Amino acid sequence: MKKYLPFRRSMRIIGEKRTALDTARSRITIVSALFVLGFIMVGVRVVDLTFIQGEMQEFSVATGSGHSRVKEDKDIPRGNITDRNGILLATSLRTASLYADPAIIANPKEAAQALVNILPTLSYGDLLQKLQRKARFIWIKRNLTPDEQFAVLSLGEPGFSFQSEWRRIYPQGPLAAHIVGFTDIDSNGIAGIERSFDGLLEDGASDLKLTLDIRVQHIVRRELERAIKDFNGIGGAATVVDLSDGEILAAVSYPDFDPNDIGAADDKSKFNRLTLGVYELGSVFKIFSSAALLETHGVPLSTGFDTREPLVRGRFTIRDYHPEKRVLSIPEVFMHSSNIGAAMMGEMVGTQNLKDFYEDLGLLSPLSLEIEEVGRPLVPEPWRDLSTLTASFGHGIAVSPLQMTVAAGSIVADGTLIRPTFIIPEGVTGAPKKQPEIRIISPQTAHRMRQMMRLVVTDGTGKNAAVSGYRVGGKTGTAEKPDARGRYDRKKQISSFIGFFPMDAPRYAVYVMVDEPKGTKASFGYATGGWVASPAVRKIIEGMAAVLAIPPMDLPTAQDLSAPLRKYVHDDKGAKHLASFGTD
Amino acid sequence: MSRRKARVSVLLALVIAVLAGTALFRVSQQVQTAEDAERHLRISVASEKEAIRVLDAEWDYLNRPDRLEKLSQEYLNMQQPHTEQIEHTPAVLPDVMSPVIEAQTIALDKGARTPMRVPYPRTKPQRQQPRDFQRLLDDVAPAAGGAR
Repeated sequence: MKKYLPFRRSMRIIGEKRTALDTARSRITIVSALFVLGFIMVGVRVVDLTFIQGEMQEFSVATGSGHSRVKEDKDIPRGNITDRNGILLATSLRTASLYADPAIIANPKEAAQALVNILPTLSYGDLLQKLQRKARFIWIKRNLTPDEQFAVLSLGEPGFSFQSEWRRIYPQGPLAAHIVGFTDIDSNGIAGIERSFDGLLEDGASDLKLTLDIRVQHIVRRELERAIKDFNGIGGAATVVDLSDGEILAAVSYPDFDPNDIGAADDKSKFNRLTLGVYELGSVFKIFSSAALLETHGVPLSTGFDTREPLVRGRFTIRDYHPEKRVLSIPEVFMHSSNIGAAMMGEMVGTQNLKDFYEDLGLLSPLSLEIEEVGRPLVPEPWRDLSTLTASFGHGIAVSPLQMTVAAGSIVADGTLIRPTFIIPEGVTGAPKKQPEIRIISPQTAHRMRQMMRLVVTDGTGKNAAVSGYRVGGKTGTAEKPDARGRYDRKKQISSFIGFFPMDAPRYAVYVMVDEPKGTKASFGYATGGWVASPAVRKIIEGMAAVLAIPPMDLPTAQDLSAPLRKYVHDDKGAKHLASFGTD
Repeated sequence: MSRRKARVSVLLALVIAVLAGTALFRVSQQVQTAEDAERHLRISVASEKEAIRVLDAEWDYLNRPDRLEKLSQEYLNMQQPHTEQIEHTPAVLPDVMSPVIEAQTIALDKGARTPMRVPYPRTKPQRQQPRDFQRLLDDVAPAAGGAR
């Protein structure tokens, strides 16, 4: 018996005693054992596949239905862009794109007809031509709506399939279209923030928070649109900048477009007038020439400028729109917006000084901004003495409206340079480092400028911008547009108003510009900055105050910022004010 | 080694092998089930996330300022406040109602730990005590012409 035990035998050291029979038997045993093992494994696997895994698969199909569209994949959507309060400005949603495999479409005519009924934007002929091609993959329509997808699915045509894709959606529509920008169909940013932050957004790791506040943005857009429509303008731009940190709360260019439907937008609508467009902005530049004069020469405000006669330099004559025909003090030149007076101030400042001053304010080079649509200023080249005269009242030099707002803001906000930004610094640990301040004018000059701008609203050309309780100050601007031959056209103007509030400690800059407004009955035929843009600024400030909960505060007239300047104002109204001071 | 012992060891080895095989099979099944469940959870999380994305987008789309403005003009009898309507100097306003129960300062032991909850004065009136019948009669009597 002993020799029949296979295990023992196999363990025995091979020797001469082994017979051929033993060898054969052990081999048969081993082979049959292997076979038995093999069959057991097959049996177990069959049980596994049919009962265990098969049942589970059915279970998973039952529970997983409805999720089948969502693949658990690694494709991460493009990052969102939000406003400062986290309201979505751009997001990506998964949509289905329809493609066809013509090789397995039995009846192209029928399929094409059925598809055209569902998707009316497609043309039957074009579709039929595509479906009869000898290809295996043809895009039919990208980014279908769920309803369309359902209708196509219910056709039951095996040749139609879907590929899920991310589609860029802009819930706010045209509201901030120029700043947010847009992407192409493959979600590559091609304009605005979408373009300049393409790499970061593509990673999809985090949302990008802009400084815009869509509530303010909406108010600004509404009022700009109203001003343009009321005065039949061809376009315009408006912005609100927080002077405390340079954050841009609202940035509007009009006409605008719906980034969800880029194909329908024309180039005029896509053009960003606020940052890319450069314009001769006119009298608002008197802020800069006056500041330059006060800063470089320190002249008293009572210094007189004779505006009785037009200023003739070479073959050029500088005139006033509404000549006062008398000797004006500096505040008077400013509040009546006298071109002659401003040109004389420029002459006093001197060409090099004025040029340096504009350079310091960043008016001679493109603004540094987070979007790529930034216009290069048009600067007189070469800069002659005459250019100094015209540049003093904003002609012969073209800058973008945002650039002008920022430069004027820098003067008003105590004379230190403001750096505009669209992005809120986030995820930075520790307190944000305060940027070193760059002083352009002295606090004294800044104070004088604030007083003068307040005077413009209390007594001058910007009365329409006054909002009770918010102490608005600012400067109107009405510039004639040059035509194709470089001649100024009296009828084509750019009317604007730069407003600041509250003027004694300016926090917000509000700028509105309307391109080619036409006078109306209500404005007595005027289409100047004071009639067109000032009321819009007033309405924006009223709306902003309500939204941002800025409490109003009244000051008696005698304590108003402009009160000390009234002694330099010599017209009848000024005299009246002086009289009232006596009794106050 | 005896034959009996050998047979026992063989049987033991077989039993252990079968047990080990079964255990391994069970574990592998459990792993598969767990992996499957995990996959489903992942898919449903992804699906929920996508649903949230869609709802977020829709919420912000429906709350566009221009739409809200239009709706409020259409359905609400309200307007944006004008700056003239806001009292510019709050000091001139009459004082608001004083609270029903005056706030009391709570004296704390210097050594004691800060209590977790400090009761704050309620502005709501306390529930009235149920009156007894006699008092009710007394209250009613004068109106009825003086029963007593």
